Amino acid sequence: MGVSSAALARESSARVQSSLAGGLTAWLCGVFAIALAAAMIALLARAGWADIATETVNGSQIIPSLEWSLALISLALPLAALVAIGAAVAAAEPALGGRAGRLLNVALRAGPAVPGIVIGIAALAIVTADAQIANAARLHPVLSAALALAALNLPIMSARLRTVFRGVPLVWRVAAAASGATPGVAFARIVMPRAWPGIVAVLLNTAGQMLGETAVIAIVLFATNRAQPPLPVYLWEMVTHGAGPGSTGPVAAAEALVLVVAIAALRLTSRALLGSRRRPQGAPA
Amino acid sequence: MAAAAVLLTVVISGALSSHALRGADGLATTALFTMGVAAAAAVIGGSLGIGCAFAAQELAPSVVRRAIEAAVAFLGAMPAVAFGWFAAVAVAPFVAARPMGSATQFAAATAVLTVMVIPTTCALVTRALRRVPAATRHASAAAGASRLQTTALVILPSLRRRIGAAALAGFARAIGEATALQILFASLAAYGIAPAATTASWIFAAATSAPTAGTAAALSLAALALLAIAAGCGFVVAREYRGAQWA
Repeated sequence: MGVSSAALARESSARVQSSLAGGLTAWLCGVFAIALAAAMIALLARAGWADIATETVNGSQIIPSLEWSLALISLALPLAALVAIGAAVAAAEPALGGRAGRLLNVALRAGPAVPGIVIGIAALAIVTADAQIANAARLHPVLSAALALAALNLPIMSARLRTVFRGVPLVWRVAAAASGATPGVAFARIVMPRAWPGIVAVLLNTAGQMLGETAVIAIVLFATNRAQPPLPVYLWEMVTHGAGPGSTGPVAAAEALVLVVAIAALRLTSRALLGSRRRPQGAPA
Repeated sequence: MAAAAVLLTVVISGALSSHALRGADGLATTALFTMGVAAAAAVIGGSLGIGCAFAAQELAPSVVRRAIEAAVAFLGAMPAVAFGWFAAVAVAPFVAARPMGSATQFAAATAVLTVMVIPTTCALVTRALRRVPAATRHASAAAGASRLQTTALVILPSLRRRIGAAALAGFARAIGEATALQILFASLAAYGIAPAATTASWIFAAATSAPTAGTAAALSLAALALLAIAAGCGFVVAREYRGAQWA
């Protein structure tokens, strides 16, 4: 009996020690993440501001690149949004989606995991597959890049919108059905108005992702011989070609700063919208 | 699915030519390097992300919790090209000053991917922790366990499968990363370190440097392999985290 209680005491002590070690490790991980983010922000802000001053003096390339990025997003986002909303409705509303909705739900499990570079190669394969397509892509490089960008963001956007639609409580649909509304009418009149803040939040989030996307756009623009790159591609070219001791490309830090600030602004707005959407429903923040 | 169909068509129509097979031979070494780097990043970055999630959700007071969440959200919002800039500015000079022979590129790539994996795993484990029933915590507290003991001895074991899936999501995130690593390897080469590449960074570099017919087929082959691995991981992760957008 005595041996048994000693063993129990030892085991208990080992468990306490293991809990303490686990807790300490978790704390260290948290502190590491905070320190890492703080170091990145400090480095970005310090180098970025210095470069912005130089860039302003030397004549800005950031603004034209940012304009190209915005032009690209203004084409890609509506395209992606139209298809993604349709896909999300079909996936989230069994009464409307039917068998297609079930198939979409399966595709949306793996779709968001597909690496961007795969979409880039698919776009390259399409652009170089046929002389007519290649000519059309060279004539409209921004549209080609926008189509690739829309295709890249389609799965994740559809999955997010599906979550937004599913977030509208079922009781509203049941109440609409009990009042004699068809599934289509219930969706258009009941679900859609309540989902709007979420839809806008998803659009903003996706716009942020599109703004930072590099590989797909670089591949398509390279294949179509486009001269003026959007901001992330411009930054990629700067850093890659200006890499080496003592130089990471002139004004690269300024471009990185502008890019990160723009994406952070879009993300924060998106989060604020999602927060305002959650509160009335009483869901935890 | 559409991407897979297009790639499959290109591969079947041209990839089995001698050029493609030669390209695929070279790809085998790159694929091994890729798997190693992605696995190392998933283990290290995954552990850090899981630790962050536990610290923020279970252990830290609200001020620290918000700081951790903000830090992880910042890392998650950073575009790959900005990580590439950091790799060129901070990681490449650091590693170049402390060469480790053939492990130099591996260590540098793992360091960059580790940071990129943290938000993915942290977001998923946070989601899993928020879904642990309150009754589980109450029962543990009623049995006399402290908060730390509840976390380590009750919650952690109950989430083992989900934590594994989160690490797998980190692996999928790491294996498909192209931009940041392509910038890193270009920077390392500028410091005189032998060139290296992961599959994704090789695809990116090759696709933006006038690919020939043979290279195009090898590119498609490599992209298809990445697609298969990432989609496989996606299905496994989606099974554990229904409805979560983790990519």
